[in-house]
Amino acid sequence: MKLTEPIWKTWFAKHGGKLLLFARQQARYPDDAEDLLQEAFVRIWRLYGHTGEVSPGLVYRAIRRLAIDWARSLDRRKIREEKVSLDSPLSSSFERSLERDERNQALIRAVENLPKEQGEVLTLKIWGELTFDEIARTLDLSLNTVASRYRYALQKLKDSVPREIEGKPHSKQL
Amino acid sequence: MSDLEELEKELAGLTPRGPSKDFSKRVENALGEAGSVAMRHLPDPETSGDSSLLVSSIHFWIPLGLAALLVLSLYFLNPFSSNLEDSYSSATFSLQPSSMVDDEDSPLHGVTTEQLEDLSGVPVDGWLDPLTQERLIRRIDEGIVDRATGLPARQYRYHFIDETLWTHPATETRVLSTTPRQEVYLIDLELY
Repeated sequence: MKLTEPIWKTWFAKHGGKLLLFARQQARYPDDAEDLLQEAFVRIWRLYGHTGEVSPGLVYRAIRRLAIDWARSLDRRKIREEKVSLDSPLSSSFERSLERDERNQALIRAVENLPKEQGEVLTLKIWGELTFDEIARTLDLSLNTVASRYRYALQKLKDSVPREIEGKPHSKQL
Repeated sequence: MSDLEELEKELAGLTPRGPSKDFSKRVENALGEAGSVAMRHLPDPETSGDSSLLVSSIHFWIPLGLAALLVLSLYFLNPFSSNLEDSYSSATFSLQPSSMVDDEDSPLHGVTTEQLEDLSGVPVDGWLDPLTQERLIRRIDEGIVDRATGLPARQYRYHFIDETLWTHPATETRVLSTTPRQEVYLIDLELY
């Protein structure tokens, strides 16, 4: 008997973490991130899922547009007010490890402190693995703006996390 | 490697945490039937990888070998091949016009109205303006496609038959020409 598995599960296991990271940046309230990702993913998968191939860029774009809509929505605000708000910093979006070193923590803190517009470009480039062109389309920006925000973000990280903070050699996972 | 490249590499080494089981379960419930439309086959644990590779490669080569054998046997066993070729070239192809003529007034492609008059005995003058009609045969929903801009659109393919009717009342001659035609329409979709 042949075994089968829904393709979305493999897809979601591969991209879900990166998408959730982006959703956390886009959501006005941290509690909204999972709802945001779920809504965006379900909508896109219902449209494209039959092909078995869904470009992550589409989900990133849907997350962004939904986040903008939700921020404007009164209903959504009401739901949020009813929820217990939990503090959920960006560091909770990364794998935790006992071997987490000081430098990695400092890096994540620095990413968290980046201006939002630089942080989202950095996230899409580094963890979303999107091209500048895809990022420009996702965020409705020009290619030059995206490239310069990315450069500024890297420069800011470099300045705020000096080399002197060295980590352990094999402790990259957080 | 520059400092910034090193930093990029370092950042890429940080692994975003995957979705929790509870969250994946929630997504599964929200997806409903849409989640089981596309499935993938998992490797059968009872068969080893090597033997399945061998079987699939044999399945690949057998039809190819048979096809090659068939072509070779046709080539060597058909003694009439050269005669057939001669007879086709002299009997069939010599009847075809040496070059295609495009006469818009003629109801037949490749035949001028003068040639038609000679062959059919129908005078050149006296043809009425052709009547044209477009008939929709079917519409096919081809699903969602990506536009060049990356935005999704639903693609519909329409199959038409274009009919053109030439009438020559004096000789009570009618010529009906039908041409299949397809048109593709893209309807833009919102992402959500």
